[in-house]
Amino acid sequence: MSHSPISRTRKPLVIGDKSYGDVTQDVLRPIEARPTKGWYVCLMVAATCLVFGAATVWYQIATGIGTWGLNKTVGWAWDITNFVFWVGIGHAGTLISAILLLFRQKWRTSINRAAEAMTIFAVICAAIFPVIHMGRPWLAFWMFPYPNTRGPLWVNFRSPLLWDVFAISTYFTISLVFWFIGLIPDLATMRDHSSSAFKRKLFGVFSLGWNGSARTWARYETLCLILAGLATPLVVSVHSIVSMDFATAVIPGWHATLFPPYFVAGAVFSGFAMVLTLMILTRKVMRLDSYITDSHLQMMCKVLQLTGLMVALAYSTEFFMAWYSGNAYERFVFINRATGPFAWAFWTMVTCNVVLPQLLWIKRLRLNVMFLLGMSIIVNIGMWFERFVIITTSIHRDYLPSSWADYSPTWVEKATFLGTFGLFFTCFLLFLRFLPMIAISEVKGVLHYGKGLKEVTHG
Amino acid sequence: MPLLKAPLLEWPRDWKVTMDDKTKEAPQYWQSIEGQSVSGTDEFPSGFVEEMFDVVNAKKSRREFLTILGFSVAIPTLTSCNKIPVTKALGFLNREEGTVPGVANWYASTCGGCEAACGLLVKTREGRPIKVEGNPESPHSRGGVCAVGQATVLSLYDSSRFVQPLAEGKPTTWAAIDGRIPELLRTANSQGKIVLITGRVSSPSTLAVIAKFRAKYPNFEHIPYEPFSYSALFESFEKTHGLRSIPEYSLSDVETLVAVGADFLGSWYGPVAFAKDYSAQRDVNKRKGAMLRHVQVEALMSVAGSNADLRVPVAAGEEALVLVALLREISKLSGRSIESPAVQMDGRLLATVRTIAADLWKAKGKSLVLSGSNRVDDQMAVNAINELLGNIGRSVKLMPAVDVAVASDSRFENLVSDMVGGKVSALLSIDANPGYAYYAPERWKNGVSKVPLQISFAEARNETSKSAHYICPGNHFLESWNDHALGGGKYGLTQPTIQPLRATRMFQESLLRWAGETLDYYDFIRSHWKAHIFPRQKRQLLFEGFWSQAVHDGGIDVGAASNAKAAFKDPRLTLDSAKSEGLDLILYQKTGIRDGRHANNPWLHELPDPITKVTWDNYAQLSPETASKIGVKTGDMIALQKGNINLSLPVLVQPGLGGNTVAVAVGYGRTECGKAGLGVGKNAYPFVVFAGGEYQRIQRGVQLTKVSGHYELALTQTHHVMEGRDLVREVNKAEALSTKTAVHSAEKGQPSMWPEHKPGENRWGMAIDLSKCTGCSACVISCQAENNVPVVGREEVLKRREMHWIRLDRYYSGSESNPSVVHQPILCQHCENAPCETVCPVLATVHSSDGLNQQVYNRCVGTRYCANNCPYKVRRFNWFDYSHDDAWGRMALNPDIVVRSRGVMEKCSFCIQRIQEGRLKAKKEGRKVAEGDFKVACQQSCPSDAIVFGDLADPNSEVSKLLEHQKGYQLLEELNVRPRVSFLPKVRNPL
Repeated sequence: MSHSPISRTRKPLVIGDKSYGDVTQDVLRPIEARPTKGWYVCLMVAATCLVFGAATVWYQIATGIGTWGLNKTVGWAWDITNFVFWVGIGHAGTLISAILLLFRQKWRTSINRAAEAMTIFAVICAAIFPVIHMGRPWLAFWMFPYPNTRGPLWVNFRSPLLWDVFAISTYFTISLVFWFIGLIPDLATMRDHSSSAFKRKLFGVFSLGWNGSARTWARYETLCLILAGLATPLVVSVHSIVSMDFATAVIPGWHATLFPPYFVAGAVFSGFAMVLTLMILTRKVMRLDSYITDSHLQMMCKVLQLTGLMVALAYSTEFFMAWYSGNAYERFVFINRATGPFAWAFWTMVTCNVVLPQLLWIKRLRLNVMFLLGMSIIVNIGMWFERFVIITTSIHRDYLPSSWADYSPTWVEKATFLGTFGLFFTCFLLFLRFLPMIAISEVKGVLHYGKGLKEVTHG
Repeated sequence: MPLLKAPLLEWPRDWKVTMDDKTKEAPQYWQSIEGQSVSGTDEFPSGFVEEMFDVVNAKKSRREFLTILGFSVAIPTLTSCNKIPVTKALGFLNREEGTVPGVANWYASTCGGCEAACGLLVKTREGRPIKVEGNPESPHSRGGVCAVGQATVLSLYDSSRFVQPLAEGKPTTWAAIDGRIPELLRTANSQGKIVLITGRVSSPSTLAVIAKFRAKYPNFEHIPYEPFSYSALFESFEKTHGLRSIPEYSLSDVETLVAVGADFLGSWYGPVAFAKDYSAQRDVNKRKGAMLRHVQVEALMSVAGSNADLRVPVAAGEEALVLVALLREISKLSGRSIESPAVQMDGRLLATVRTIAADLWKAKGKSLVLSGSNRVDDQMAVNAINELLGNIGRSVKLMPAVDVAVASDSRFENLVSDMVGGKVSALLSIDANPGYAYYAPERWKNGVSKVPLQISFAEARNETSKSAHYICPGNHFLESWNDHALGGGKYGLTQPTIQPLRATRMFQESLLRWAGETLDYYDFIRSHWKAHIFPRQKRQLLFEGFWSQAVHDGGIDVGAASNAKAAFKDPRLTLDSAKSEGLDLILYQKTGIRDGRHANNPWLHELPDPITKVTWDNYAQLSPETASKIGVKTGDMIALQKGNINLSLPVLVQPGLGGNTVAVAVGYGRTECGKAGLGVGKNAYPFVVFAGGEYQRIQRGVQLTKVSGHYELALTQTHHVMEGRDLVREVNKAEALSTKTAVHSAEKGQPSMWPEHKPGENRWGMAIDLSKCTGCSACVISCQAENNVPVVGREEVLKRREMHWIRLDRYYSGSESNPSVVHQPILCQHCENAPCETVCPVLATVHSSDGLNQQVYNRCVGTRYCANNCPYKVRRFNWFDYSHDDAWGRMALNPDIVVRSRGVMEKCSFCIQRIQEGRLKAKKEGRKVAEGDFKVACQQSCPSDAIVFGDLADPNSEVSKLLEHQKGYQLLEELNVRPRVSFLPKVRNPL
């Protein structure tokens, strides 16, 4: 390396001695070249899952929600589990783009674009479930408070499900805007880089006439900061509100004031795990390991470790409170959770979320990319089970033992869940193919980190 | 102007038509947002309206006008000559007398669901019976009606009923039948014996009809047949008291009741009447401590047993021993020795029997011993015990069996022998279904094959009608006239509440016709009553008045015939005390399906058994001890074998079942019936043995082996203990009587975040007395009938999706071998701070000003959040479109209640339609709604008056008083959801 680093503690964020031109070339390569075979195979698999899932949803809507395994006691299970799971995954995007931006965590630049895209796709997946879990999904629009001729009938502002509607739609909107704003300079780069007139026209329109002037940059950065400021509360609010679906209920195991921070920590935990999974795969497939470096993975591991410990703390707090409150119903729920018919789910959750992540303390393992990939998937499995455990084990045995019932999913529920993975990966693969998955302009801004050049200004 | 009456005046006379011409220049008004078309342009086919009104506007020429006039006069006249498909709408202009669309008519009648013949009130809407309820004025059942009675209304609309008579399987007409059959009967009369088999006949007029028939065809025999007969009970009195009697039991003065294997609150004798007395006698508060003590000795865990203060589980074969031991103890105490065989029994059981005997002796003259056995010796022992205790004539009234033909097992057995011997030339059958229930099906088939003429009067296809040459379908009792001798000078009347839905006719009518009588059955009953019943009373001078009174009240009491004088003769008892290898098998009737005649009634199939909570099946009940000995669990398959009879059934492990016993319900495994009952469960009748002149329902020495396979039973409750939770409060008699003030926080409660609801004029509330509730489940079916609750089927019950709005939670406590049982009816608790209301995103569940928690079906989008958040889990979700596509079955729907669509939550509404009806009634009379203006469905049907509904805002209402004075509590009070349903604790009266 020709440049010696100024700070020995600061490692370069981009390795491989890239020039500005290299960055543009490297990031745009997958877009401008013909897609690889691997990409086609992945898309085929994802799209098949998507189509199968869509057909299943159609069948379920045409036949009735009875095609699921729910019953008079367990009114929610996989549906809301999947909803919370996907919303949780969607959490990493805003955290990376908003909070890390405000905290000036420059390492975020390599992953924020993909993480934001992931957020949007995950929220779309999540939003499917509240709609299709309804008995009459064709009336889902009744959830929105709009002037109508039915009385007028208004919505129930006391219902956490309604808060969800607002929380999710706000979150989706802000995420989408944030993502698009972030894309503008890169769209302009694509416009300038493109040889086809049509593409120049198209990207020209979407880059909103970006000219790269200092003034444009200044406005752009101001806007980003404002949006980050607006989005920051959302990081906390969305999952807090989702958690209130449970926390405001009277059901032991749901009714807990701990839920908002517990859910937020869990969401970040699962979101980062998903980012890690995607980044490890993408950088391999797209040959972008110069930009998504091992040190990026290390950073994400730290976040994973921190939030994982928070989640573990929440688990133990729940058990402590169940004992300490002296509430017999609450105690029973937690004893049942750990020893009842769904004990296997509980212990899967504990193993995946608390026990195994402790291996991340070992540096040798942390530097093993394959290990990290495995761990990120394990965490996501664990986090899915966390939601399942909270939702199902609490309601399947609540107050009156006469109504206790078990639950097992049908193929329809499984296929629907698979379908959302299909949707997610289809969207993600298309994103990889058609948009720059790394924020070119932002990476250019941190290109010289750790290369001994003069400090680069923020951006 | 008759011409104009129908089409023109009825036509919606819209302003737009008459103003048509003038509006050309006028502003163009819309009809609605959707169709912004200018009025009158496209609502009707063009020219149609103009043509119609041209007649009136007289734009036509005189000739054309006359043509139209002539045509219009001729066509209605001509068409009315033809029997075109008539849509029988009820118009206000020309309506049936006494029928107001939307207003129910009630008719007093008598139930045909079983032999108990309870008094009914039948609710009809627009001419359709849609609900039966107990007739509180019935001298016999005194209000309340059981689950089976409630469900009969659905059987009326059973689409598998015969639609017309059949000859050799081919549809025919009644005229053809009446032309052919008398001739065949004459031939049969000359060739052999004509036999009519019926169920129990307690109708004096029917017996008179049969007598007429006998006069015409003298070579005739009438044989009543009940697969689950009381043959031994009736016969035993002949032996001990020299009187063939139908005893009448009365608990009204009983202090100690001992029942041995008699489920008198579930299916034995007359459960409704028993429950009425039983609950009154056990009302510790009203009776100031003189609370009936109930001891049940039984092998089966029965509904009655589940309510006992002391329940002694014994092996099925030991029930007889206990009776003899009890007799020996009582005779020792009374000092009068009655010869009885020595009894070998377990020392502990003997000690218990001694305690029971001592308790009975203390209450002599005020006690009652019952037995469900069909062994004459057992019943004779019971008679002797009751005699020694001085109960005969008091709690057991001996009524001579007049006007009644009861089943005699030995006579039926002789009949089968005669049939096999070819002595029977014609077999007529009604109500009885030996083709299914006879214990030796091959022998029956053999017998039947030798009968040249078989006529079935069955309402619907069954195993006996299958081989019949002629099917002359009878009416459902709701379509029939009939009378019932209810004992002690009480008579019940059944009156039709609807025209026969199909071309069926009462079998009495058929017999009359074939006997050459010209009277129809209605006139026949009248003439019979005029000649035989009317003269026995003095209140009414004229028969017409007497008759109208009887029809109006659903029956009449002409005063008891003198209590039969009967001298007690010492019985000679025998006892089969031989040890047997294997298990004792006891066959029993389930509360819903009974002996199998209701096997095509889906309501009854889906009714959870009050004890086992199983729907849609029969099974082999084993005690936990026996099950673990054999190594089986609930759902494992076992094979029962005795001689050459084999039956494999799933196991149900039943706590409290007698040791060494296996219990199997009869009535299942029908092979010829409608689709609801076909192939449900297995037929256990082959295990019946004919011994000692009676059909024995207890079999000793049955071998049981575990076989491979697993069969999931559709249970509605799978967890049976309360987990130490304060759900059902139990107190003993002394505690119940203590003056400590009631603990209830009905309206007080803890602080709440939510603002109080504005108090309305009424505050509806309910009190459920857990010591009165016997678990009989009549309320479940009553609610189902009232509220159009769908049946979902076995598969869906297995998925825990039954739809009942009221359920009975049954919990066990104590030891597995002899647990205490509590029944707790749970319906929507109509919380003041309802957790369901806050979470519904679309306000589909809201609070009414009178305190009801209301579900708005058409607003519900089906998030199920409310059901998740309901601590009582009373909300039911429409997982599918539960079909009401059976055109006949649909007629049983209550038009006041909407049929819920798929994806919608539903639950108990506190019968809001009844509240509204009561309120409107009060409003019309210009007063406030008062106690007694209405009763909710579960309350009305409860035979033991355990449910009280009323206005909590009225301090004088029964419910307010109950909650004020008794130790009422609310379920899960600590949640501060403030339910409007309160429970009064279960009171036990320990020995």
